[in-house]
This record gives sequence, C-alpha cells and structure tokens, in this order.
Amino acid sequence: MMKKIIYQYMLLAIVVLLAACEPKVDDFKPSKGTADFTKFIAIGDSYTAGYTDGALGLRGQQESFSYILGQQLMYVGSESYHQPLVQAEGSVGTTVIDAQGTLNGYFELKVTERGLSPVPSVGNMAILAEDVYDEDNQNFGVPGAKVTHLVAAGYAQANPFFARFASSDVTHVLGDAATANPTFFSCWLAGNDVLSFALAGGVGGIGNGVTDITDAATFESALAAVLNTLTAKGAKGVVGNIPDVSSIPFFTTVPYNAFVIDAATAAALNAKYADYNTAAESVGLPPMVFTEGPNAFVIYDESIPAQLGHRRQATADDRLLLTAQSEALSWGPTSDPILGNELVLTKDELSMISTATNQFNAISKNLADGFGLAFFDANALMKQLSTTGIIIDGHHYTGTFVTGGIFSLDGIHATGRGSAIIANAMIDAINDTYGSTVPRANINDYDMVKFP
Amino acid sequence: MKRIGLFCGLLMLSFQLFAEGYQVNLQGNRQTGMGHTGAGLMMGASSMHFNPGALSLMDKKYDFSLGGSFIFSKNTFHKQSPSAYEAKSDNPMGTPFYFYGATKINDKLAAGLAVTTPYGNSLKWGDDWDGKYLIQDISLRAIFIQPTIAYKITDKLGFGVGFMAVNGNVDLNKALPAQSADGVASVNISGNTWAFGFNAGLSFQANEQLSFGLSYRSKVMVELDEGDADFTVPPSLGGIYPDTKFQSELPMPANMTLGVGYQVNEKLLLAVDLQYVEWSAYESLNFDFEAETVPDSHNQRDFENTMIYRLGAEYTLNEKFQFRGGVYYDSTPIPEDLLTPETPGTNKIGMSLGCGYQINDKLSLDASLLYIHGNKREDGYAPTNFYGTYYTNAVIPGIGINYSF
Repeated sequence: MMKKIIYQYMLLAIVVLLAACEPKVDDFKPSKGTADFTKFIAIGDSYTAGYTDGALGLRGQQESFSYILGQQLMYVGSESYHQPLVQAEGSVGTTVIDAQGTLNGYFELKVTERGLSPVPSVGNMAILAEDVYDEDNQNFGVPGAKVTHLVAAGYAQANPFFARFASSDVTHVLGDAATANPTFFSCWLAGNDVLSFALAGGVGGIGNGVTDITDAATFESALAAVLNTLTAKGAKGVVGNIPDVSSIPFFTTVPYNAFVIDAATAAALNAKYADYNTAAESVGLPPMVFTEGPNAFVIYDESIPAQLGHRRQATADDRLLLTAQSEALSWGPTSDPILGNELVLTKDELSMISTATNQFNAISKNLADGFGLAFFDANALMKQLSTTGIIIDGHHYTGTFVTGGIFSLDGIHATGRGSAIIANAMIDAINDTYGSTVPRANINDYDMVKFP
Repeated sequence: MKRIGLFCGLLMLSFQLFAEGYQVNLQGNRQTGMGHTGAGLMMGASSMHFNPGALSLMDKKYDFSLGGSFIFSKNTFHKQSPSAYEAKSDNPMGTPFYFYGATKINDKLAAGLAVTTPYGNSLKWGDDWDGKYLIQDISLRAIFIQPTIAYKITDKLGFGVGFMAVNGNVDLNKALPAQSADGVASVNISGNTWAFGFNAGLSFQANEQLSFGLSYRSKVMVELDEGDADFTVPPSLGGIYPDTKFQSELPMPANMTLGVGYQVNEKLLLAVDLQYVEWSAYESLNFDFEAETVPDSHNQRDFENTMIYRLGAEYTLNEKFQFRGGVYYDSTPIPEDLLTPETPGTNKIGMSLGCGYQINDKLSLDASLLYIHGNKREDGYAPTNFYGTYYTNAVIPGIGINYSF
C-alpha cells in the first residue's frame, strides 16, 4: 500500500515537471529615453499618407511607415495613432484612365498578353470628396505635397487629398499639425520637391510650378518653418531626406535600349533617318543607327538643334520612366517611334535633379541636427537597396520593380514590407538619438506585391 | 498488485537524452538513467549500440531489450533587441526507440540485431512565425538496423562489429518570399532513402572492478537522390516553381567513445564516458533541384567537432531494485553566426535519474527520466540575417523492458 502511494506521488511529480518545463525567458523592456512619445503625429507626403500601388486607400493607410511607426511607439507611451481613413470602398490615384476623366485605383499585378504586368484598377472618385476632418487626427501626410505646400495657406483648395481632412479650406498642413500639439513627430517628404519634376520627365525648371524643382533657399525656409513650429513646445522628432531617383524603380526599370525591332523595321528606320544622319554629321552629332534586336529609343531632347527635331537616340546616361514601357508597346508598325519629353530624363535633367537632391539633403541634415532631431537617411537606405540589397529575417530585398519586395506596383511608393523596413530605419535613428529602446516592427508581418 | 504493476510501468518511463545537433542519445534506458554512459560497461544486448565489443562478454544465453522515450522539448525564440517579438515552438513529441536481441552462439561468439534511432529532429515553429523563410517545421528521423557479431578474444577482451543499414526520412516546410491573395508561398521537402555504415568496439574487463571500452560508430552519409519538392506558389509563378525532384545529402556524424566502468563495491557502479562527435562532416545543406527554373539552395553549416562528457552511477538497493543517476555536458557543434532555428543548438547540461526493477529472474524493467537544460544562446544565422535569443529545454521520460535467460 505504501509503495502504491509513493508511485502515485512520483507519477504526479513527473506530470508537474513536464507541464512546468517552459524555458525561462528574459523579457524585453521598451524605454522612451529622453523623448516623450505620448502624442505622435506624422507630417509629410504620399509615403506618410499611405499611398501605395499608385493610389490612396484603406489598405495602404494601414501599412504605411507612419502607421507602423505609430504602432511601435505605443510600446513607449504613445496613446493612439488616428488617421483620416478612407471611408469608401477601393482607392484613388491621380492618373486619368478613360475619356470620362475617371482616375485610377490600385495597380494590380495581372497576367497579360505580354506577361505579368501591373494594371490599374478603376479608382473610386468618391474618396476625394470625403470630409473626414477630425481634431484627433495624427496623420498629416498629403500625397503630392512639397515642403513648400505644407506652409501654403489654402492648399486644401489645390489638393483634394488634403481637403479630405483639412480643418478648413484656408488652413495649411503645418497649422493643422501644430494644433494637434504633438510631443513627437515624423517629418519626411520623400522628394516631391524634386520628384514632381522627375516624374514629369524633367519638363519644368527651378521654381514654384507643380513640375518645377523647388529653389533651395525656398526649400530651406519652408522646412525650417515646419521644424520650428513643431518643436516650439518642446516636441522631439525624426526627419527624413530624399532618395536619389537612381534608386527608385520608376526610373531604373526600363533600359535605354529596350526598343526591340525586327530587321525590316530596322531597315525602314535607317532609311527614315538618313536625312537626319546627314544633318547630324554636319553639326558633329552622332547618327541614329538601328539593327535587328534591341536598340536605343529615340527620345526628345531640348538641347538638340531644331533642324534635328530635338530628337536623338538615348544613351546609358539617360533614364526612361516606367511609363515609357507601355508607351513603346502601344506603337503600331507605322508610328513614329519617339519617346516624348515627359517620358525621359536626359543627362542634363538628371544632373539638375541630383544637384537639387544633394542640396536638399544637406539642408535637411543641417536642420535636423540644429533642432536636435533624429535623422533618417532615406537616400542611403534606398541606395543600399538598389545596389547590394539588404538581407533581413530570411529574405534578400532589392530595389527591383515588382520582385524586389520593397516597392509597390507604382514603382515609387513602398509595399507594406518596404514601409516596415523604412519604419525600422526611423526607429533605429530615434533610438540612437534619444537613447530609447523602441522595438522594431517584424517586417515579415507585412505584405509585398501580390502575385496572381 | 495489478494496479501497482501499472503504476510501476508508468514510473519506469525512462528519461532519456536529446543531444546536440540532430543527434538523439537515448538508446537504452539503463544507460540513459546513468547519463547515457555505457561504452565501458557490460550491458548485455544493448552493448550493440554502445560498444559492440562488450556483447561478446555477455553472461546470458539470450538477451532481449525493448524500449522507448518520449521527448517533450520546448524552444523559445526572442528576436534580437530591440524587438518585442517572441515565438514558442509547438514541437510534436519525439519518440526514439530501441530494440536489441542477442544470443551467445558459443563461448567465444555472440551475435545479435539492434534497431535504434540515434538521430532525429522534430521541431515546429508554425507557418506564420517570423523565421518562416528559414523553417516552419522539420521532422528528421533515422532508423538504424544493425546486425552485429562479437568475438571474445580472451576472457577479458572482447571485440565486436556491426553493419548499420540506415533508413533516413526527412520532411520539412518553409515559406517562400512570394505572396498571392491566398497567402504566402511555401515548399515542402520530403524524402526517404537508405544508407550504410558500421559500428565497432573493443571491451576490456581489466579486473573485477574495472572495465574499459572504446567504440567507433562510423559516419553515415544519407544521400537523397530523388526527394520530392512540392511548391505552393501563386498560379502565375507555377511555371517557374513546378513540383520537382531534388538531390541532397545529410551526414549522421561518426562517434568515438571511450568509457570506463568502476564497480566500487557490490552496491555501487560508476561510469564515465567521453564521446567525441565528428560534426565537422556537416559542412552544408544543399538542395539541387531537377527543374532548371528552380534555383538550387546552398546553406552553410560548417559544424565543429564536439565532445560530450558523461558521468553515471547505479546503486543496487536489493535484488529487486536499482537506482541510477547521471549528468553530462554536451557542447554545441554549431559555430557563431551559423545558428538556425531548424537546429537551434546550444551547450546543454543533462541530468538523469533512473531505476531498474527485476520482476523475476528473466524479466526486468528500466525507467529513466532526463531533464536537459540548454544554455540561452544569443546568436543567429548570418547568411539570412536572422538573429535572436534561443532558449531550449526538454524533459524526456523513457521506459524499457529486458528479457534474458
């Protein structure tokens, strides 16, 4: 009998031991360092707003870098992250897709006659007419906004994406953001101050036009005004800089020589440009030469004399826009095979862009340091992605269009996962600057491009 | 009495070993109770695994032994700081087993058959955990079938050798970095094949008290020529990732063990083993896919040779009962920056208890209980940049039955 009891107790002991065998784990302890994350706001452009796959919609708003950063900051005291969420179904972009003036919605990757290709869905214009103003709003990202727009009164009248959530049609973005009384902010304008010019194929100059490059002095005073206002009550924050166009797939995907033709077409083009070649030779410019297979596109270049029609063949020093691909594919056998000015960034235009990008980035860094803010080097991150790529948590990410994992189907904005990588880079900058331990997001929790 | 028998049976669950890499040292419940020592001991039929040389010195005409263990292992992963992410594995219970049957053909010669499972791995992190591109779950199993013959050179010296036919089986799942509306792409890798090796040993009974043993179990290279790779990918990528065959190989490393047994007095037996495991055979894990569109996969491992230090004791209470205890230290073969969640190895300490119960003069039971504590390890796999802190432990009860006459 005694034996039996002993056995029973020993059996019980074994069962208890099995159940209690969880390994002991050291818990992670988040800390806020010298920053106060109680009220976080994000101010910026389409990246901040959650624009992805060529449009603004609820899906993108819930996986933007600012949303992800907002979630991670809740570990260190942030109380909320309210956004002007899209109420209607679907999404809306800025490209007109039919004669009625309908705008695009999210691009979707589809199997088409020429293989896998992003195809725009039909946008929901009702989104642009929404009025979702809320005094609790914490996301002041406006698609299309330049730094100068943030301080422009009445900007809601010019930009329906701002009108959706603006407090009035005479306010400016910075004013609404300051009213939110942030204790912490992100201020990242990923580049409309140069990107608008680049996206238009370099049609424009230095100035305040929609497709102009912002003048450096104007850029500096606008950004200084933004940071000055937001830090006036002691708020801390993170400032991002501008990635160079050479690391954005919208400008790197279509090769200059992706004009593929057969022998007959090549012969016809050589005949067609015989006169051009004679004239070009007389002014010391290179001739146009076509052979069977891949050829350099004929492009518009303002600097080429008028008697040559301002056209020449592209070289490796030019960049074709992503939209050039569909333009070229739409050419019939008798079309004039020239890519318009709006589809090409020539060497000279690229040099203007790069000069401005460098100037703006120097100004951003200077101001961030001056105001004691964390600095997110978006340019370095994107450059690394477009060259070596980055291996994170089991996958090698690159800047390649569609398959790289970072960029969405518009070739400019990030996927959910790209946004998480950006948010983590900001978190690293914040932790470095303020001695905090904000936990990084798990990038594998977020989506990449979805294949059909 | 019947109920006592049942409880006794449950209690006798022997607690066994769950060793570093994907080795499983749980091949005899008596040995497991003693820290899995045994190379220097005369353990009857089970010597075929521990030291075939000792088989020739067995004192019974027939000896059979059958048993198994139940591995309850837990792994916790805490992502590299700063991160709040934590994952716990939900490992299926591992069930290594053994069977030994041996007979003395004449005074000099003994022969037998051993069926053991000295390698295996069973780990399930889940389909959607953070390391899903490295591994979701893995099941690795190897059954060793070993006919053995042993010869008594002198009354004190025995030599034995066994031929090992190994059936290896692998089944693993990992996610692939492609998505469709239906979810994340993945691949299932599975295969089964045969491979061969040998096990040899020398056993020396120096005097009444002292015995020595040296055994060598060869490397077995399990080469899979026709494994199945089944891809679950978005339909538009189905042409690039068709279901295909693959070639791969995985070494079951060689083991060299030196053991000493010391009979202190009638009651107390002590044992020490030094087990050298030649893990350096595991240089990489490669999958060469037959379909040309599927990129081959080469994964650096570069394991290092390790030593396991074992200490065991057995105390004979009376004719019926024996009590056992043991400890061992098992260092990890996995170098820094090459630690994967598929084999999250770390230096481990094993502590075992066991008991033997002699039911009658032919039949006995052995039970063991082993607790393995893995030191926490903050490390990761550099080639895919996946880092964090791994915590591991296991509780392993085991039970065995012996029949000899």
